[in-house]
Amino acid sequence: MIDWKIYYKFDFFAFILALCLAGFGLVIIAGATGDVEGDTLFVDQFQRVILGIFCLLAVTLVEYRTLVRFAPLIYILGLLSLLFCFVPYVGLWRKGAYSWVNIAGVFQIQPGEFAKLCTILMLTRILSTKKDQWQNLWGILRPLLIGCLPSLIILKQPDLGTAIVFGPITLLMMLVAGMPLAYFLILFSPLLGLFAISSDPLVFLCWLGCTMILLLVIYLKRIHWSIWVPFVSLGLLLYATIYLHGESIWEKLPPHQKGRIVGYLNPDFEPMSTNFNINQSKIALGSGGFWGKGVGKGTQTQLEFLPEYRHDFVFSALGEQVGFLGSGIVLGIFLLLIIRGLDTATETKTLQGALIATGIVSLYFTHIFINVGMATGLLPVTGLPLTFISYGGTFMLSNMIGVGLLINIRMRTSSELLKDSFSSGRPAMAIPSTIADDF
Amino acid sequence: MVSKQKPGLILKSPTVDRRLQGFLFFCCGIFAVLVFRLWTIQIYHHEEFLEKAEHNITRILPIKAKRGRILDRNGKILAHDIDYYDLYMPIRVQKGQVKPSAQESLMLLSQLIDVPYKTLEARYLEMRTNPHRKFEGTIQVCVAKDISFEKVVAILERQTEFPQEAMVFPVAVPVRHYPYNDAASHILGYVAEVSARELKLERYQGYRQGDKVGKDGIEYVYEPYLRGRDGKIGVFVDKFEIQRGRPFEMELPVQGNDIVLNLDIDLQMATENILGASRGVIVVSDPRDNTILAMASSPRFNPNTFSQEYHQLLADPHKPLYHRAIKTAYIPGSIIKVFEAFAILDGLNISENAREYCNGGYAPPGIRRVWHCWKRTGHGPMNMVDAIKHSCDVYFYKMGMRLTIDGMNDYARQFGLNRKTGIDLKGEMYAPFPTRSRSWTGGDTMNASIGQGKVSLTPIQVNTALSAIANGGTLYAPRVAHQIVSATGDVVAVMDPVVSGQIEASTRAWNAVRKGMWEVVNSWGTAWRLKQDSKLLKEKKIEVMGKTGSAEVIKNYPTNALFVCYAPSENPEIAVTIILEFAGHGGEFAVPPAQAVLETYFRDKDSNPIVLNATSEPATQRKTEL
Repeated sequence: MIDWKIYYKFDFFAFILALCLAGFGLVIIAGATGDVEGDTLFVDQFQRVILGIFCLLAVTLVEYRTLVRFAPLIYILGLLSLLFCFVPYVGLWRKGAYSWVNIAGVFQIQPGEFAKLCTILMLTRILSTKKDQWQNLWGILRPLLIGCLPSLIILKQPDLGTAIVFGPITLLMMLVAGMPLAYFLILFSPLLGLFAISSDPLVFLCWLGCTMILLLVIYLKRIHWSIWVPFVSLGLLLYATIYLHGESIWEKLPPHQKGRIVGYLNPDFEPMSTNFNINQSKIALGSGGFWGKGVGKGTQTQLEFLPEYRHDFVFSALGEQVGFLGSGIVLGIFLLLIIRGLDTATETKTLQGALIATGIVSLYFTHIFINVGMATGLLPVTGLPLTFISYGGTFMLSNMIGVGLLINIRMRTSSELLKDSFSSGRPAMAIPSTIADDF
Repeated sequence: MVSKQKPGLILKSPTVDRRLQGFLFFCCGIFAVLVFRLWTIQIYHHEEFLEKAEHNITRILPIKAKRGRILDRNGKILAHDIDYYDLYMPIRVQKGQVKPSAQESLMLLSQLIDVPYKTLEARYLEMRTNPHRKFEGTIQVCVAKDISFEKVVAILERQTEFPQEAMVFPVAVPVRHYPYNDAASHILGYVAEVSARELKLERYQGYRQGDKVGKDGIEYVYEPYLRGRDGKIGVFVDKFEIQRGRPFEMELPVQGNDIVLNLDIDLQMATENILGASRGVIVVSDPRDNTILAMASSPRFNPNTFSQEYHQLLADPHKPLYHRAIKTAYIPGSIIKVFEAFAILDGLNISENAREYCNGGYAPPGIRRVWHCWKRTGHGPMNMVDAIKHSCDVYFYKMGMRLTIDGMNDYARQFGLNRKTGIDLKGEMYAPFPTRSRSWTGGDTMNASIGQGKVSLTPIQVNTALSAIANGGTLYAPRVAHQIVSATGDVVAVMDPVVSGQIEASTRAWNAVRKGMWEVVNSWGTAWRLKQDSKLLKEKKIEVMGKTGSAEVIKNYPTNALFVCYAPSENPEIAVTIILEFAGHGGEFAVPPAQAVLETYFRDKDSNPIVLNATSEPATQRKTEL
């Protein structure tokens, strides 16, 4: 059944990158916690890394297209597991959200992490079957709905950070699958406008000009009205709602989210309360300097000034202990992993392979960008763990499975096509694209 | 198409590759931004953030030094520091409201230290907004002060019940304690927190807000010696301001120097008991160098409970805060005659045997008013000795008119009656001795000649002049403190007697005055009770010299009773000045207390000799509470 020969092409590069990152995470977390607790955490996380490696290997066994074929089932299972969070005695209330499921009282898992992978598979399936999907509204709406559904459930838990991740994944996969860039801009124009009007009249004018050009592009490219009219009107509606009822929406936001937004807009405001977390994170990073304070010698983490230093602010703990050198190296490894993932997507000849790889890469990329951006004060505070580094079993497993999928795709790159083309008797051809790819 | 041959195999279009390339560039761009951002934080602003990180975790906390002790001449402790505790709590306040964790802490605390919750909460909020009261370099504030050791133990036993982020920390703070309570309270003074106005003065340079300083008495005058040097301790703290690890910096506090007083606390308490509830002053000194042995001023206050009773004490009509011995100028009455005698004998060059006839009254020439003697029937012919013995007013009226106020003034200056004595206590006052002015009349001179009218003297002035008479003519500035001893037992400084004047008088005058004062007590003079009532003085054959006085302050109201005396007549060891407000005649009311003082002194002197014991046991170095 399994063709063991393809394991000669096992992608050790991606595998080693993942192991390096996991190792880094182990050291950093153990170093940040210190003393006895640090040792138990280390052992804990080490077990999960081992388990993760087994999962990674297991994922390589199944051909990825089989996974795509069963994607609807996997997706529904994922959604059900999300819903389990709300079931009493099964769902766990932790850190203000029902984002945990208790399995037989032994394991606690976060179905949200697996839901991301399930959604990637489902999107791959949706985006790779229809060929003319960009020509009608349903073709655009379908992947959006697929992406939105788990996101909305998670938002209800409520876990804003995890819910946000689905957006970039869906959009990036749609873009790679060939969605015209103009659509993307149409989708984003109202959101950009929101930012524009809240900052400066000049910026707002710029945005207005850009929107005009966009409308001109829509006109010149002869994009069918049935596609852009709903989105533009939806955007305008959203925009008008926020413009008219912005204050009442603002009032309904939970106070901690308000504080995060206020703190993001005024970095020097209330350093001891509103901006405490981000301030301490910057202090941790900045005090690390180039060489860092040494593993286990970070004062910000040891003395608990840095909040959530094992999960959301793990990058600051890393920067404090191993300095710019270490955090630069970690960022470098992340970039290498992303490049490797995108290379896999380029190498593979199948659309499914490319889309899965894109999904995984965009998942990693979103986590890294939001987490590091938050730790350095570029983005508002959102609770998202850092890929491979943060402490957490489910997260580690899902990351490892992601790498497993990348390896899976890369292993089967050439053999698939050869076998198929031989069996069909003629070389495979690219699907001719019938509509404008770009504008 | 393709999907028919093998389900699931769909080939990707070139668009996908192009998009993937775009994605790659996008990722690289974002990573470049992240790395740049990291560079600015970690390299460019490194120093700034490093400083902030250190500020986060390091706290320099002061360790209050113990103030030096105040000892009496026998080494008994009159004032010392005992450890009390201030309770500190981290600030946990949001939008003017105490956070639930802090509320819980305060609630538990209010049970443990018996302070109402509302009081604690109000203090907590007030301290937060008052930057001066912040605990040095931290965001902890003081919620309760002066908590005893027993209560602190109770708090520490239940420390686990306090929420971690609003933990209560006891900090040892020395609190001044006066074991003898109100005894010698005016002399010792009291300590209180240095005020904002005082901090601007040169005297209080190097002091910080919240430091305790001597505000009165010995505590004030010898503040530079008594004050210790505060130590400090540098510790690492975590987010909850809880100390972690060992202190990285430590400077032990240095205890202040001890002051040994000339005061004898047993004699002091005896004199205070003798005064009892009546208002007045007893000053007892050693006339040989005018060191103060006891100085009772009634009513008194208790410096231990002083701060609680402060407003009550201020409102008291009898003014218990007022140190009468050095601040109140009393009309001296007949006491002045002793000093005036020198002026008459030497200044007017009149023979001590020259007699003036007292018929009970005198109308000076040119004034149509008769000034009466206290004895309306008259004393008959009086010479100087008799005049002192009987305190004859008419003799002194006549002599006073010849002497004039200028002559009196000269001698008042010799006895130091027109200036401060220079005692080492805070806030000595004096009333200027009257001088001739445009409105000065003969009547004023008449009054002044028997120590009435515009003459008024403080008890310490009288006692200093009395000591000068007793020791043969040397005027010393009175001294309360004897020497300063460091905490290790070394003598730092000795307060030598300070000569502030010399009385120049003829032997003739000396003999006459001494004879007069001897007769006052020993020859049925105005103070005859002193000798006759006292078995002890009779037994020991101690001869006392004295002079009574009755000062009329308010017409038709009991006079102030005054008595000055020294003993023994040869080589005097003790000079006593007694002033009792509105008691009556001096001979009747001021003499019995004097007798009691003298008896106490001479009885104790034999049973328990008073020795200046400078090297009392050295104060042990304070154990540092961490």
